[in-house]
Amino acid sequence: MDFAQFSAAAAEYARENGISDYQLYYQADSSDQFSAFGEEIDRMSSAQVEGVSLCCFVNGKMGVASTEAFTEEEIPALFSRAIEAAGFSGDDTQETLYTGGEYQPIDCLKTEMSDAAAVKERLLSVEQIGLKADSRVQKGLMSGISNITSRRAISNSAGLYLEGEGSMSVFSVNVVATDAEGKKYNDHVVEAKADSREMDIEKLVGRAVEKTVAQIGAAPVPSGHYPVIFDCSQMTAMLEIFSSVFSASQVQDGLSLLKGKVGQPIASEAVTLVDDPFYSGSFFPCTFDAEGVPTRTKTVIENGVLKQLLYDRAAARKDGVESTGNAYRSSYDAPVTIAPFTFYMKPGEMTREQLMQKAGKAVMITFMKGAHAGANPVTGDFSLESKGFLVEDGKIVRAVEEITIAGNFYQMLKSITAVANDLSVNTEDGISCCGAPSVLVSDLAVAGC
Amino acid sequence: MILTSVLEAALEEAVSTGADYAEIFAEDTTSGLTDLVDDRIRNALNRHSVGVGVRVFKGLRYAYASSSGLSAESVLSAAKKAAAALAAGTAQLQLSHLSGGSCENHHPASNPGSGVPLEKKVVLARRAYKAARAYSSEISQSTVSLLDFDRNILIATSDGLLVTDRQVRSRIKINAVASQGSENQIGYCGPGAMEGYEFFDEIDIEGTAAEAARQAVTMLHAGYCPAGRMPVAIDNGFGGVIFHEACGHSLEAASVAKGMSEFAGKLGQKVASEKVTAIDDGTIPGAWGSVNIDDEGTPNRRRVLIEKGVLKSYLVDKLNGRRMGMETTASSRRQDYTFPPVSRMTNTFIAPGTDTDEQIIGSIEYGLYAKKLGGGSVNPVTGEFNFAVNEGYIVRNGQICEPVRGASLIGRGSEVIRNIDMVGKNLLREQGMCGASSGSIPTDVGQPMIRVSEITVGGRE
Repeated sequence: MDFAQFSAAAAEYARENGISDYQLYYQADSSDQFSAFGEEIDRMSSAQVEGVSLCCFVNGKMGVASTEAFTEEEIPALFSRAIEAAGFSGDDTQETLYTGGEYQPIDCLKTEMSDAAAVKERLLSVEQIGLKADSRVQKGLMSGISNITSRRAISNSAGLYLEGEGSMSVFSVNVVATDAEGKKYNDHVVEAKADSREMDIEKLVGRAVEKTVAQIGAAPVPSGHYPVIFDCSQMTAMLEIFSSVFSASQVQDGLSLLKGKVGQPIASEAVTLVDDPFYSGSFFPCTFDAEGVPTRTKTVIENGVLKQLLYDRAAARKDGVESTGNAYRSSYDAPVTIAPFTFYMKPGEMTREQLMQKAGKAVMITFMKGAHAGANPVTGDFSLESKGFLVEDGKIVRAVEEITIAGNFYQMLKSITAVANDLSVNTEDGISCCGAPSVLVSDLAVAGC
Repeated sequence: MILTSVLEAALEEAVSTGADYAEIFAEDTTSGLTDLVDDRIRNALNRHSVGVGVRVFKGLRYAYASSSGLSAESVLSAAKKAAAALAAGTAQLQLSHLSGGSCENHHPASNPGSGVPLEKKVVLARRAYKAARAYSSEISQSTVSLLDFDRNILIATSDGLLVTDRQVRSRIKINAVASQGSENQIGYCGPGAMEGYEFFDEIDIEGTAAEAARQAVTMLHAGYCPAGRMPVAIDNGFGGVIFHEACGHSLEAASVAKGMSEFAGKLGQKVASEKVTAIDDGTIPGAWGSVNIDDEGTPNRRRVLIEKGVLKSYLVDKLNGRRMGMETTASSRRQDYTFPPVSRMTNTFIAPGTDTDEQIIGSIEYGLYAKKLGGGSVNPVTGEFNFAVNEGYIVRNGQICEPVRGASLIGRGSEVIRNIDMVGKNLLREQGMCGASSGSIPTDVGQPMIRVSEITVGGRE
């Protein structure tokens, strides 16, 4: 049975068993992927997953259970598991079914699925483009194109029905280059578009090659404190790593250090952070959040001052405010958390070159890794494997590798002394994504040689 | 789970476009997540995941199609899709009739979490929470997650193999937060096993929670870690993450087969210091990373990867084995039916050596003692890896001195495993989740205390 039939059968079961308040959250994801290794297409895969999560409200408590089995027999078990969970969940506040709000109409970008033959042909062109671009590029480039579609629907016993969908096409290419001594360097480029035919494969492979060979000759810098320039891609990564500090529920539980900070300066005046569910480049624009609440654009930090936190319904109830429509589920069966949609730092006036001039001597970071272990939003501390370039007199002098940068996110927000005008948004991350321009941070610890 | 006649029809469909091998992987998994924060249940999730993945090979090429649901239509439709994607001509394979049954179970679970009432889970989580909070008035918060998995899998192949397995796992993850003014520090413990809820009767829940709290309080009063290159003593248990990242991933066939590993072509060569013998053993009874069979249906085994510094074996799956001209080592794993499987680790550890912990610490004039480690990652192509120290101490003149806060350790795998110049005697394994192209899977890492003669410490001083 499909979701509509399953939902009708669930309604029937609820009626017969006197279950009055419940909500279904449905998600169907599909992806088609082709991968090339050198001059062969070596992998084709497709995945289709649909699942539903049921929320039951019993005596002001909410319980959740989920399934991928859309069968008649599954329904009683699903309800009984959700009702069991409702007996234990939550705090002292009353959780109630959401009955709906005012939703902003949006246009959805529709991904055109190009045919398999065309996709394969494009991937097969990658090897030659890469090898021609630079003689140090090693044979056997790996590339891939994936088409991803996601549909969501919410329906509940109060008659609310919402649906939305998004899709994107993602191209990735991985390049290995070898220097005269045989040392290997590796980098990649990923780009998302509504339509894979809009992708300039030649340009993207060229950029991946450029990024890889730029590392040749890299060496650590001496350990010490340096001004640090975060390339826009890496400032974006920092926002991704630490976005949960703006979650009201993390603040309420003491798992973010922003308690009592609304209205106060928490960052330098150069910093303005906005969460925009309708961001024009987003492939998954959302008019409703994971609880069905209408989404809206909000300024989280304005010129350094914390304007507001992000809320779902439970956190809002606790603070006596309205939900900001930031309930988020990474998949249909994931717990509801709080997350931004397109969360970005507003660009400044300066060009990237002017930012480098202002820095004088600095380490520019173009790559970071290991954030799942080396960075912690609860403490704000980070220590991350990094790569980039040494900047002297405002110019790139050489590549840098085998270093770490270390500091604290909360302190770093205060030491951003300049913001460039090169905002880039990491759209390939899907529904919840971040963006930033390049920034200059006055002082971070670098471990090198 | 699925009728044999449906499986046979689906295999027939799968090989209809010229495949030389076909495999059906079906899964019916129930999992529970009970999250407690601030002494209240934040999430009590109960999930039921069902689906199928069909994989077909033609030489070194493969196609994979997966779909949720276990109806005959889902299975046949996945088989059709995989066959259509492969498009390698007409049927050429004679299928054998499927025969087999459940595999031999080396990890019996008496009380799977799927059958434990939520009430009991809540009591357990609350015990851990209370013990963490009771450790010190500086502990301002604790979060506890109880996880249970009851994974039932079926594998049917064009060779005629039909095998099923039930994999039951349980785990508790305890975080403790210590606070003072505008600072938080965190401590963590996360024991788990290939067992049912009986596991929680075998471990000391309160002691584990107190250990997480001890780390958080210690770190709250610690200074910053130094930055630069120095000798480091890495303690047993999760310290084994150094081998997992610096070497283990780079021995996986997915990287080696395509020359994307710094250890490609080095079999039989000396790649590490003579002190290093490293093992990946998927057969340890009840261990978190163990499995009766891998996700291609091959019974698991113990693999000696490095013996006294010499590279003895890679971790090989069926597909990459073809490219390498090697047999599978039963190393093929996947998170769930949505992922095609690739070679992965199970329980991976450095074997005990001959040095004592006292000798190791005593040998360091100035350096770091890394007592508790966190996760890490690696790029197998270049060998550049990182992993996190969660609790460290300065070592001066052979003595463990003041505690210092977390920092990443970084380096190149092939260099660092040559720099492991002392190996202790007390092997301990601890539990983690390992992420790679076939998803997130349970693995153990382990080692006795070791000394790395020089490594970059990513501190702040």
